Amino acid sequence: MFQAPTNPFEGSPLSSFLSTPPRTVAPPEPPPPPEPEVTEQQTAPTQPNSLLSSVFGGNTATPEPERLTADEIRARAEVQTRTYGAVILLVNALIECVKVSMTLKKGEYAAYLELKSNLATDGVVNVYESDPAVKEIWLKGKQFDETLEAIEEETELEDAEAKMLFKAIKADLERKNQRNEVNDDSISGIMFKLMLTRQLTNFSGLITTFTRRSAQR
Amino acid sequence: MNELRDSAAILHVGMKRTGKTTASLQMMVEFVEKQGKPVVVLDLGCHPSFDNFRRITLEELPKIHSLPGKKYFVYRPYESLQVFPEILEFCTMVSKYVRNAVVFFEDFTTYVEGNFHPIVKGLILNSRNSCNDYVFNVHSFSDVGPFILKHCEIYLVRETIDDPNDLPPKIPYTIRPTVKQALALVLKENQRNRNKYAYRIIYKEENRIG
Repeated sequence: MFQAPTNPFEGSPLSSFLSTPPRTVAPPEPPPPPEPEVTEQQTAPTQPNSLLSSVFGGNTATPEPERLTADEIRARAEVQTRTYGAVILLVNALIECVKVSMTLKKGEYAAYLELKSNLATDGVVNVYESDPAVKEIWLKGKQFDETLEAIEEETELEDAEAKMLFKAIKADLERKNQRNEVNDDSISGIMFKLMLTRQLTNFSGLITTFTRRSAQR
Repeated sequence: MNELRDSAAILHVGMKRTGKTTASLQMMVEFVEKQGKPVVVLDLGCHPSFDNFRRITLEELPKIHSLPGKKYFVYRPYESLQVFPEILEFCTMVSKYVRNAVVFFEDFTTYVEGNFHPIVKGLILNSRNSCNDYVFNVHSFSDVGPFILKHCEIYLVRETIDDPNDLPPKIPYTIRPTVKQALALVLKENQRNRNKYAYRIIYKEENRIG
């Protein structure tokens, strides 16, 4: 608390000057309160995405954690797993097809197909038992067919499954759109995911058909 | 008859131990009690006489009349290495937003010397329009620049190191004889009283000793 000084003088040197009341003016408007600084939100630069980087998760990596519901997290994980899975399945299918094709010599598969058609028309089951060469062709051809069918079966998507994946991918795209993160790379990434997950059956069908065709030559 | 006084810039000159600070405190009391004006001291030296004053910030200056408590404030720059920008900012805030108040510039020459910054010049020139009184405490006439000698309306003269017979030429020619006379009277009185507390007031516009 301020205490008035004990002054050895009577009054201040300016007592007479200060005995007259001062002229006053209206105070000016106080300065406006400082506006909060607008800081531009820095978004982490998006990594350059290639077609495959989106498959391996590069495109879905977000610069900051976003709030997702449990369903969204599950759906996103499903899409991711499916996309990885689809690539692995297709590569596996390709390798299997090459491997099984190499077991057949030229013309063997055509011979097998002829035996098969004869079998269908004649209704004779053990036609090849008498001739080991025919038997070998029959077994090889059968194994070839079974391998390709297994591939087709493995990569066959059920309708419900395909729809679920489609919905999850679409939701992902919409979320990106709301966050204004959609760019050419993310679109191509999502298209690739869609193609892989929804057309997996067709892709594997193409591979097996191509393998069959080349084996028939 | 004009019953209201105009604001003034007051140059308070006196060497050490001549009662400058004591008189300043007494003037502050009168400014607050009689004139109803809040007092702000710009104090770089952290003078203990002002330790009990409320420390005011630049942001609070525009609200000086509405701040609670006694109207004795002290502004002490926080950043000792950034003192000059802070003083200029203080002067800007006072010029812009403070009215009907008194500012004491304690040991003015320690932070303002030579050619004044336009902000300080503007502050002094606008004292009447803003109804602010300014008191500049300095140690001698030779310490201060010609601008302040020219524009202060009142000189409060105490014993200084200045030689009354060889005053600095920067003191305006018209007022020099009066300053010389006031200094001589102060010296004479101090010799008679064997202390250094004598003073004289020079009203510059009237060119007379009060």
